[in-house]
Amino acid sequence: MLEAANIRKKFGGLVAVDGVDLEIGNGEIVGLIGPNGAGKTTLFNTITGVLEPEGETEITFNGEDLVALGTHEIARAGVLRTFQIVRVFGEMTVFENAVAGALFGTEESISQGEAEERALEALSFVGLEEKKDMQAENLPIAQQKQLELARAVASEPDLVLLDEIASGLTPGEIEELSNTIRRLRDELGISVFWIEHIMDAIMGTADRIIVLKSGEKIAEGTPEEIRNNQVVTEAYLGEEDDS
Amino acid sequence: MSDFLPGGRKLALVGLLFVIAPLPVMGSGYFIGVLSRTLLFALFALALNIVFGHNDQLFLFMGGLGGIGAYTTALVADTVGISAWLALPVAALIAGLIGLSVSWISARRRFTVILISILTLNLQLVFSEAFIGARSLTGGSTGFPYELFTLGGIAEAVGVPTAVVTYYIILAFLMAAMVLYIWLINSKYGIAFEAIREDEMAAESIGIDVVRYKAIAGFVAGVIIAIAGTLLAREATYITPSIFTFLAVDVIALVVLIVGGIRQTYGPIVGAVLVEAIEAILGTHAANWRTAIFGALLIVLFLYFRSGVIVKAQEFFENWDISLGGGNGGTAAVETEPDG
Repeated sequence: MLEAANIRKKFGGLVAVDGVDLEIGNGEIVGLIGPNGAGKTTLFNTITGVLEPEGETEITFNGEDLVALGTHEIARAGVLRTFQIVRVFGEMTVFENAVAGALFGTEESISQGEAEERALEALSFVGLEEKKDMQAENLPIAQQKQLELARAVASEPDLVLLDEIASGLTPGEIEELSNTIRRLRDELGISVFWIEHIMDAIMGTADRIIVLKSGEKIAEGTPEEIRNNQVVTEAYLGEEDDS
Repeated sequence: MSDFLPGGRKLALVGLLFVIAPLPVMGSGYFIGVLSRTLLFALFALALNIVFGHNDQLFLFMGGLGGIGAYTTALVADTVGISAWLALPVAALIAGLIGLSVSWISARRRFTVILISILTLNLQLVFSEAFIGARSLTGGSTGFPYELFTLGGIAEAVGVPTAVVTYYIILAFLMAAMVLYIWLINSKYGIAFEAIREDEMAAESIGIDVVRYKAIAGFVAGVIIAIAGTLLAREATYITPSIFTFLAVDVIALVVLIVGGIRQTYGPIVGAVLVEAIEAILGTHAANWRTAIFGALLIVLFLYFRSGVIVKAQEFFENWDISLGGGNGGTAAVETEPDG
């Protein structure tokens, strides 16, 4: 599905992402963690075409070269995303947001009626169907995040990139969100690449975790392996003092 | 009709009102002129509503594009020897392509609304200079008579002044543009425009080709502006660069749109009626103070009606309804989406 080699992104002299290789397979939930400033969102922005990667970067999705594509073309190829700071279309209704996702996020041309059906299904999937006529900006933040997810799901993607979707949620909401993410894979067959700071959520949901620090991949493995990885512990807590 | 054109009945009613509007003043060239200008500035403001209201691309070269439409129609008709009716689509296409190019470049280079307004204002100055400088084509600052579309025959056959026929032709174009606008805004294009206006990055991330949709808006606006400009010259029966200046077209169209209500389906029409009525009343009763009073009125309108007269009127009637016990007791939500 998604295969990337040597992803690099610089901002002037600062290397934000430094030679990251990664692979996300069909039906996988892959977590991406790392301390603040590790380059996680920059990595997402590079994969989705928001930022132009450095020349040596290779990113393919189902065999298609994503580096050559614009953001909207990457979305149509089946890679959708949510944002760290929620970006719903606030003046539209919840339903219109989802319809927009269904109408444009696919290479096939679909009718308005079909888009509306897909939108309703997506809203129902995240549990927002009863709020469909509300103006999106009037939803609480937790539900705006669900709406962003529904907007992505409405286009029937192969892969969704979730950027700190659990931040700011209550423990109950996080549990519900984790279930929704598992259902994305189990019921809809959508793979997930998920940046998160809330460790319980990501460790309990992801199949595999990638750890970034200062733009470099420092570890990769199952949640259990990552939990017991000394390099990861040091990246988060600093080196242990032996004295 | 309602499936294809939501609010089509309302538009038909508005059209009917404008059909009968000239009847009481048929003999007055002055009032027919005021009515024609009202429709023309509704047409300019409608184009601005598409490109600026729904797309955040502030076109400040509507005078220039209107002039391109008017001069090109006359020159193509004269040079090729074809009817102005055939030359008008050519002129509209050229202006549309200019609008498309400006929007395409601006979107590709991610220009903000301020940068687009600076770019197009510069183009306005270039076009204004060109209209004066290209004397052999445009007649320079003195221009030339503009009596294309040979309406005299129709006027004679129907037994009305030529200015009245011109009025109804302008009305036909305005209604056609309104149909196009309502269809556009209620279609996939309208959803894309709204998404782009609210958040370009989010719009791109769900698969909307921002450059393409902005270019489409620029093209449609360019076509409508060129038609409005051509009809403006026809209404004046004389073409000079002075009728296509920034002050003469862009400022008025912008005021009309803001007074009527940005992104309101009938904002351009309501705004044009109000602005032209104020101008006409001041011209009749306070000619010496006309500009000063008009300016003061605009300040008041911008201070208290910035969201547009339509939105303010809706708020007023909804609050009135609540105070009379007809509402649901809560704060009434105000419809800010196109009401087509």
